[in-house]
Amino acid sequence: MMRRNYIVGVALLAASMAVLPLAAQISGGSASITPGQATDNDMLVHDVTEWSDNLFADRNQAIFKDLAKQFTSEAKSDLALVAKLRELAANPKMSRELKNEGIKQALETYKSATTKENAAAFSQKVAKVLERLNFVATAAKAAGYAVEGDYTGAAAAVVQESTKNVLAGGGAVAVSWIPGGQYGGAMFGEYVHETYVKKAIEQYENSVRDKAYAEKYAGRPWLRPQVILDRDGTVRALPPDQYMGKDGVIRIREEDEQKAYEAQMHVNWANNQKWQQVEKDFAAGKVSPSQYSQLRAQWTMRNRNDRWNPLGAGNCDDAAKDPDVKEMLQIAKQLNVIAKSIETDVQGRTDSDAADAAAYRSAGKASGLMAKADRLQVLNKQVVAKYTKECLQGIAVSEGLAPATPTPSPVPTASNGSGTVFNKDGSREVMTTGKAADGKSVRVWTTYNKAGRVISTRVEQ
Amino acid sequence: MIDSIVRDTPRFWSGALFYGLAAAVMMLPQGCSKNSGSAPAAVANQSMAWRGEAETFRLLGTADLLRGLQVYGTPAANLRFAALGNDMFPGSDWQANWQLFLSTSLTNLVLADSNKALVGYYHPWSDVMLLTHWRKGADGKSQIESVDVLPGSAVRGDNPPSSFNRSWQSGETFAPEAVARITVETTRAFESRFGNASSDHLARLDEETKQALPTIAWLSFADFRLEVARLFVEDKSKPVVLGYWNEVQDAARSGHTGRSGALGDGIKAIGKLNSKIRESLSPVSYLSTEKSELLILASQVEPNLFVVLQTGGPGGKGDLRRVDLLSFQTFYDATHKAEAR
Repeated sequence: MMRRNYIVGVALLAASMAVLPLAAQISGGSASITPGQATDNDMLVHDVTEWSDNLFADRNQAIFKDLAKQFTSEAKSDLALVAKLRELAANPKMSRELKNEGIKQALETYKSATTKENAAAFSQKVAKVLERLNFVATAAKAAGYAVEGDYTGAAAAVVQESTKNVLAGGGAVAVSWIPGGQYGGAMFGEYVHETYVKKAIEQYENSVRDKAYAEKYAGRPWLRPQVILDRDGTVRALPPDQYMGKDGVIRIREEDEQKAYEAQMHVNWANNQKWQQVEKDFAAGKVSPSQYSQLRAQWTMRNRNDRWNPLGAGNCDDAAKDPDVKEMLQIAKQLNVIAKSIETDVQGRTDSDAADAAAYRSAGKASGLMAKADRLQVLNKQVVAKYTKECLQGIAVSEGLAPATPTPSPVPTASNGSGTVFNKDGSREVMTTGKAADGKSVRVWTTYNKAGRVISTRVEQ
Repeated sequence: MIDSIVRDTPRFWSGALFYGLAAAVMMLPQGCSKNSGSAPAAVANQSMAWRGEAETFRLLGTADLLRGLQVYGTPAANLRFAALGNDMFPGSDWQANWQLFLSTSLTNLVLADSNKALVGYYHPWSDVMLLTHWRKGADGKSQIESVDVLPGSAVRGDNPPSSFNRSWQSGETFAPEAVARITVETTRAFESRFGNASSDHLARLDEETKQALPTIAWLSFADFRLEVARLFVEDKSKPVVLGYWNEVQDAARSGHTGRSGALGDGIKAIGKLNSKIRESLSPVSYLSTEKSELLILASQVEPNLFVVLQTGGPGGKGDLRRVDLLSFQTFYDATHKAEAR
């Protein structure tokens, strides 16, 4: 009896697990809109984000490689050299001759110094510098309290006050660095842009894109000339079919090379445009913070040689047509049928032999079911990486794999903080709470349509 | 020689970043504090005009050094940038290194009159200053005429510089506080020692020392780069504090954090930043001991702002202890106030 129950249990568990990837998404209420966020992003441009992605997030490890290549290849030889120099500097008993010899040896293995002449010249400079340094001070390096410690009293007060001011949302933190300045840094940023940055950009554009260039490449904004420093110290733009290699030689691309180059530039430009659109959608509340995080991950992990399809934002229609999603739906439906069949086989059997026979039949079905469940798990990993929860929720509902109002959700109130109201037409309203700019509590209602797309937001005091 | 120093722009500095930065500057007032009052009176201020040009060069130069030089550099200054780059970053990508330098440097200004100004781009994290002499051309354009580089110790009057260690890392003060104090000290030394037109600010240094300054600066900058490069190395034992930084970023973006108390306040403060400033925060220091990790990130759009994350809470080295949003300006102002009392 126990064995029978175990088999049935496993079968049902497998069935429930199989449907879980889609159905689990149904328990809505994940979306949240932070008041003030939309206005914060009025003038979003993609580039800073792309730039910053290269630097910050741990999950963007693949992108880190760009920087790692750039700096760590040099860093290794820098590290060896600086370590050697520290060692030499910290040894007051070593003679000048020995130090110089040590420096020369260290520089021989210093990869960043490209030529022997460079290395020799650099060696002499470093040797002279080391002569002048205070060796004891040079040997010291941050440790202990510098890392593990705490602010002293006065600094702690400054930090606390600063944080308090920022959270109060008023005078807040001094944004820009203006020692002795008469007015706040925020104003300075605006002033800099309006007065200088615009002008500088215009000046730059005019200088690198003369009339002939503009006419020749009209309508192809993705073709940006490479800018170089010439021998006479002037900065100039190369024609778009020319480039300077790392050896400093200017070359002209062959026709097919140029074609491939232009195609890639177009891909880069188009991808940046798409990311810009995502940020605009985020700013407008069409993309939730969780969607945005997913999209950022997709963006930073994209194949830079190909067109980027920002799956999950504005591509719910594509999700429904995706072969992986279709296969998932098919398997999920099959699993539902099998699970129901197992349940029917076992339920109501009082005769022990018949029950055992039913259990064995169920075991056979469960075996097939587990295989499908495994496949579903594989597909699920692929699908959730491509589409947002909201898209998948909408599809699951429309395929009858989950009820439109599947989970009894608490009625949203100001006291419970959040919740979801499911409407008869398949849409739902998600409420989150937050603080307005004046510090007062507000409730933010976000309405999603059946397909999981944001169709409206409203803020209640 | 010049052939070898003229390089491709590094791939990670997106060309389009140029415009992104420009737009980011325009956005600054929205996310963070917005002081009341009108700009026109201040706009008329000559030093503010110079400061505006100097900051614009920093932004352009951060996005792409040659674009900045195209707009603001004289040919002589441009070649000097390249030559200094060769001294300071031998065999390395001099443009990328200057971009890295400018990206988190503070723009300091003295001797501003109708025709000229002296601008010191101070990089607190390497304790190095890039000194640029500006002049109005016949056409009224502001241009960089000449360039020098100095270790921070030389700016502060240490004659000759006695160490290639970054000063803020040499003492027994908590590093974020130490860097703020040294930065204020350097700024004030720059104001007082370099703010007198009649004196040669490097006159006290002998010729040999002057020649050595770029090399000393290189030692500091190489030290800075080494420290930060550790964060980008593929390594299974990644610093735990990086994971916390991801958490802070996610919480700041979404406006939701499960943290309370001082940690929660720190995260919320970062969440209040304009998103462009927030997204431009990049690592400038990573220090570690057996008990604690310390990660500092500075904004490339507004280098005045930096974030401190420290582990070593009650749960040990893997336990987040501190998240702070700091500004150098706050420390500078506090120093002035304290002296005024």
